[in-house]
Amino acid sequence: MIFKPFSILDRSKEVFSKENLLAPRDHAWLIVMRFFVGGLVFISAARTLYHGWAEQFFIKPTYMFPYYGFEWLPRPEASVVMAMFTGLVLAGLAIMAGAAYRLAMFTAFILFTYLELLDVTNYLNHYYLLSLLTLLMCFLPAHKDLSIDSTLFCKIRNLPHYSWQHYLLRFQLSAVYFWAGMAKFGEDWLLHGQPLQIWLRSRLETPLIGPLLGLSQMPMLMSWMGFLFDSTIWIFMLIPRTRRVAFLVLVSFHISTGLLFNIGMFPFIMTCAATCFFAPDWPRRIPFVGRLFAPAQTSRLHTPRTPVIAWSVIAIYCTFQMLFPARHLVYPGDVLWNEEGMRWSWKVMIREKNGDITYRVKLPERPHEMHVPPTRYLTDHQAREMSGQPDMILTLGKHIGKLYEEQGHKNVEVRVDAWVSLNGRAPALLIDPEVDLTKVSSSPFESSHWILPSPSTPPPRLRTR
Amino acid sequence: MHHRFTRTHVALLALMFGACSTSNQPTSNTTTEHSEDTVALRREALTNIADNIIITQYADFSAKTSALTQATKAWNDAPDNAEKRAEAQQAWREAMASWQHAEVFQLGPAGIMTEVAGGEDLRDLIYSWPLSNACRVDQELAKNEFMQDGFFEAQLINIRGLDSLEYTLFYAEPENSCAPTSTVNSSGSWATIDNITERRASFSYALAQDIEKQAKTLEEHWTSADRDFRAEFVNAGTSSETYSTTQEALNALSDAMFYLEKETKDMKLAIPAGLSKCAETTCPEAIEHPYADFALEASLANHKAFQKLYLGNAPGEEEARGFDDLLIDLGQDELDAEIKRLLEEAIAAHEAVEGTFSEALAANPQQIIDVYDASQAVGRVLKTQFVSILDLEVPQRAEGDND
Repeated sequence: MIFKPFSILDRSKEVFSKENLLAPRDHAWLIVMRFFVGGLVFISAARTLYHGWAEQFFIKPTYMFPYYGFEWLPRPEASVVMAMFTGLVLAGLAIMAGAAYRLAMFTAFILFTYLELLDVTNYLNHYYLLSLLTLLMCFLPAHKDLSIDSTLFCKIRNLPHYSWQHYLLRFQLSAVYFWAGMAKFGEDWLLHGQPLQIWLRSRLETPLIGPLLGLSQMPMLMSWMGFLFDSTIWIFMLIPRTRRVAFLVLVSFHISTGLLFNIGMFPFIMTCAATCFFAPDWPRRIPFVGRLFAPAQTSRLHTPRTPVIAWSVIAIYCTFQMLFPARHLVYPGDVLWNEEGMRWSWKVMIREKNGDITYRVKLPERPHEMHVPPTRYLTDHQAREMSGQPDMILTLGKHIGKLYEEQGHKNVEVRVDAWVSLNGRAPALLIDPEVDLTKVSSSPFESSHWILPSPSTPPPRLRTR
Repeated sequence: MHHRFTRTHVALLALMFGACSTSNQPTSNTTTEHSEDTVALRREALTNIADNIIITQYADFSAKTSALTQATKAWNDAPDNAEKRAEAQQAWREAMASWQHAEVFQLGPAGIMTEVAGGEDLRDLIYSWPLSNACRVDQELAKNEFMQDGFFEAQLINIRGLDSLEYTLFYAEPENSCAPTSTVNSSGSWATIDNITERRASFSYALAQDIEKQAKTLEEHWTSADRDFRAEFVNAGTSSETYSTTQEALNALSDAMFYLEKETKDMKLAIPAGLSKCAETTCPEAIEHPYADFALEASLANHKAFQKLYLGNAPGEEEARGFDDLLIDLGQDELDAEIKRLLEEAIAAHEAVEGTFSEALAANPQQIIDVYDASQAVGRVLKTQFVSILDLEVPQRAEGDND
């Protein structure tokens, strides 16, 4: 294939022309996407209730780690938490049925995002993606066909569906893959095959492929494959000629990672969402299903009215999605170590981190410091998650200081011994043990001088025979 | 940052152009064999730990509880005989020392049913610390119904087990441990006890019989043909229904080893030493065995049991498979040496304490703090590099998604 930069440029100009962005689009793909998103919301909420995770992660903890800027979010009562998850289950069903679609999708977005913002411990990249998808889908007319809404209200069938709406979802998915690939562009991942070497060695008993995982070359091979897959798959999915093969690769990749690692809904969310890369009429080609869809609009029924403010919001959203995941470049040091810019950045499964955290509380009236293990205030799950994340360690340190002050102690000082192993390295101090955490700013906009530099040694190489 | 990025970039480009061929990593041409070797090594470790450490320990404890029953029976037959009481106390010490090893083996039937694979809650029936409740024991002493058939089966764990027996064997005061307003005092039922020593001897015998029964039950859960948890454990990854891989079984073992961190270090050592949850300089009332003053021996036994699990054998015994072999198999000799060194230092710190736990706490609390520090050093490596290299999950008590 001959590389033609000017033809790509011309094509880009054509795609992003106002005429094309506002051209009517076949809605078939969008209807299927509605089923997928509704189904994912339904299954995510239902399995959370089924496994008792609502209680474990949202009710049982006595302390929750607030997100910076969202400290004001009130923590709901247990009954409200259960009601919220039940609401999500119902919203998922309503989305699939296309009943009160926009209300259901907005409810799903609000409930899901609210629950996720309650505790940093529960942050997962694929939950973030589901929040974004529900947000974007609120603005798309995914109920204009095969829905209760469109059956009851004929006007809904005529809602316009523009090309830009399709492109927006494709952009979102491309951003996820691109930044997930860039996150793997690091020494540990590409030069040392870590942490994959550690992970694969513990999975030698995986059916069928287990013995292959013991190959000495396998960690490096899989590291590079993961990097190349994430970095490029979105390109191959965008190109019509390579799309089918790319989708097969994509499905195989997500199935295999789903079998190897405990990543829950992630493979399903990515696989379902990736169907947006196909031509908009792809569902019409499915036998028996295709005929269910109403004919696509080929000409404009309305004069497109997309005000400047709407274009501005879309531009801001896209700019945010392009730049925000790269914010770790602004912070000094290794993001895998200091975690500054780790969240909301699609840094998926790229580090093995385990920590041993002990807070030391200095009270003026006592001869020696009090030692406080995080598990006094946290569930085991929370303690595990926070043990490698400096901002969470700082947040709990401040909370501990506040609790002692509430007990009547004055001039409380809180320090921490935070020993952390990154990708199997010998444990090193993550936070300056001399710094009083009660006096440190938790703002992400200020220098984190209290975080110590990452270890300079390479990760260990596990022996193979 | 810019410098770092450039260095990475250059290194990656070098790799792409063949620099990787200079890698000193040994290559494998027998992958399948290697995988099988690694899994076989894990299975050898599991089998050795099951047969020569866990089951052996349970059998030892079971034998000690038989002796304990005999000793308490002898005291019950002669409650005013101080020598018989002392013999019963000694039998308790020996049984407790044995059980403190088994405390670190809370996987399978000994584990908590809702949290541990194969858990049957049997540990709490043998030793319910830290839920021990002396006042509840006194209330039952006053009721005097403990010799009835099925008495213990109907009771909560806090009036059963070695901790309750410690109280009835070692506490010799005529008073009870309840508040003056407690029913046992306000109703006058305590005052109606004619001979408190006789009553305590009688309850001790009943408790010892129950403990012996539970010890046998626990041992049978691992060894009897109908229960056979041993088979579940050593056949992980093949016929086991509890553990689908050897890695899962190792994880269960590593979860159990965290006892040293959460119970021994954070509760048995930190709280009495005044380092945690203690309003005074020290908190002697929080020591694990307040009546027998056995806390130092208990902590030492916990560390020795941990060491045994790690090595696959006690120091000085014939070398057998343990976690150390798994680390060496991965080429982590330095980490292995570090863990061995830290464990020896922790045990030496215990042995350096002068007197009993409470005596040391009163005379020189720094000795207990030294034990705590040494134990913390072990826990630090356990919670960081050890679990990372072996890809073991830190106990979470709840599963969830990941990404």
